[in-house]
Amino acid sequence: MLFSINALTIIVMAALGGICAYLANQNIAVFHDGLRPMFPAYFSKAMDRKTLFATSFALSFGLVIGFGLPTSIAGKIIIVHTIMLATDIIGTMFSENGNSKWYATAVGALFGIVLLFGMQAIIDALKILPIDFTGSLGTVGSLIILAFSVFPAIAVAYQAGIVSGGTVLVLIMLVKQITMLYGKFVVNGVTIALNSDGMALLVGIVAMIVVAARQKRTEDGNAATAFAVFSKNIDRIKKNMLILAFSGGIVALATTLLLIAEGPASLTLTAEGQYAQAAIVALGRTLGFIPLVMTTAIVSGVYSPAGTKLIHVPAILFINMGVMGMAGSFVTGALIMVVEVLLLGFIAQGMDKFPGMKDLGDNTRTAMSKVLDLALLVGGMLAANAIAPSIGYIWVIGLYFLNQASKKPLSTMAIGPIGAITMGILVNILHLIGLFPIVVK
Amino acid sequence: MKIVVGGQMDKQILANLITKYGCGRVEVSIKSDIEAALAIQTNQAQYYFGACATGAGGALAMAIGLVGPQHCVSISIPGKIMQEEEIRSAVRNGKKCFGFVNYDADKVIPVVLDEILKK
Repeated sequence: MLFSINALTIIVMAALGGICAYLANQNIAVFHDGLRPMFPAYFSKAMDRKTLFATSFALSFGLVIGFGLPTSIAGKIIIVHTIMLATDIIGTMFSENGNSKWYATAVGALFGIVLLFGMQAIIDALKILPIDFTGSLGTVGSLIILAFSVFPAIAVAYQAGIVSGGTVLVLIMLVKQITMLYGKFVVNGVTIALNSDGMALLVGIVAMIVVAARQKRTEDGNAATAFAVFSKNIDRIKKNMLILAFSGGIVALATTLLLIAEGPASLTLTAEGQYAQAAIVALGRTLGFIPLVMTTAIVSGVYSPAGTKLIHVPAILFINMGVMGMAGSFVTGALIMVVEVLLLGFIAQGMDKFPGMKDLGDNTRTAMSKVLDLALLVGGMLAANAIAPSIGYIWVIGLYFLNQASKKPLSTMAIGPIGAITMGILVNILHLIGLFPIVVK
Repeated sequence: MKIVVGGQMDKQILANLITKYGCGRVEVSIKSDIEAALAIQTNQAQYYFGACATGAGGALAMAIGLVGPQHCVSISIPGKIMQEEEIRSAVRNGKKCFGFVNYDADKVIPVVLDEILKK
């Protein structure tokens, strides 16, 4: 894993697990966007704690095991879902009354620590296998680095048709190609090279926002009226602003310490040391998640321990900046959470004013999700092929279709990482029975 | 019968599938998740369909929030698609809003529509 295990990271992981479990236990914030709207039924006693827990478990357990763990192992940073979906489960498992909340917090903290040591232990265990394939696992994310800048074009296509989408696609390609050729300047003897993927992403995202801002209001704009009845929920979230700010600070700090990453794309870029690009990607994802997180928060009175995910953006930029970076990350993260909470009321009233922005959010999440599905699948194939050139492609292509035909299909996004990891384990088994000799290069 | 497609992903694909399995008896319209959920809340439409990567977040969150969880069900989530009989009994028990993983659309929509049309 890319993080180091020391007193600081142990404390931060414990704090992260603890605070997130506490927030879920006290019904203040949960990470799964689909769990949040269940809370009004719980508050009105139409749903009991057991059902709330069962729902949380059903929604999140598969994602932790099937998506969080393999993505974290392949990427060498813990993807935030692994810890925060688990703390949703832990928090809702315990009663919110009396001492139970401290049990939930303690179990959450313990889970954070176990995850920290556990992930490193898994990587160490893989490394002592006869054939060490951990070096090839990075290939799973290789397409993300080279091709993730395509997503704004797809989002625009969903929003404004394929002509606009195609135009943005060509624009992105041109920007990348031109920056690669001419993006180097020598200023006072120092060579400054613009990152071509970063530039392409930035131009794409700007184009995406411009298209969204131009979208006309739809006829049936009655969302603001519908949301007006939820003002009590906004007050409930505002009441918990301080603890949410603390959670935001901890999440940001954990990001800066390379312990967690907000999504598969920024995870890969951060792991490769491309922090500026990772921050741009995280910003794009924030645009996508603002409507979803905020609308679910408004209808439920429950927020997310990571907010709209904006806290990750400065946190990524603070990586490798020493103690000042850590302090800066914590403070910025906390401040962003406060601002987000204060903006909730404004968002509720403005729901109809910027219809394009709501669509932009949906389309951005969809486009990113689709690009990740494909990029991680092909990346998984390339990684499996790097591990076993004879059978790698066969394994991952087979796995993809077996999963589609399955009655219990895992997230498509997880097939690439799972394919690469299982390929590595398979070649070791084959090696043991003499079917996969080690080629000396 | 009026059906709205809300949710987040592959709305056009969902609408096409619903039209196909609706056997000419349903009227489908694509909306934002909020507008679609409001259409159910105000009885302008009878059923809501939505898809996303988790089958519960972007797909169904607004329906759960605005229509109420007692009317909503995730018929597929990562790692688990409901058995056909389970889906049918959900429809029979009065569920109106259905969320699922986008990749499972062609597996679950025919079952839901078949059961809806029996009513």
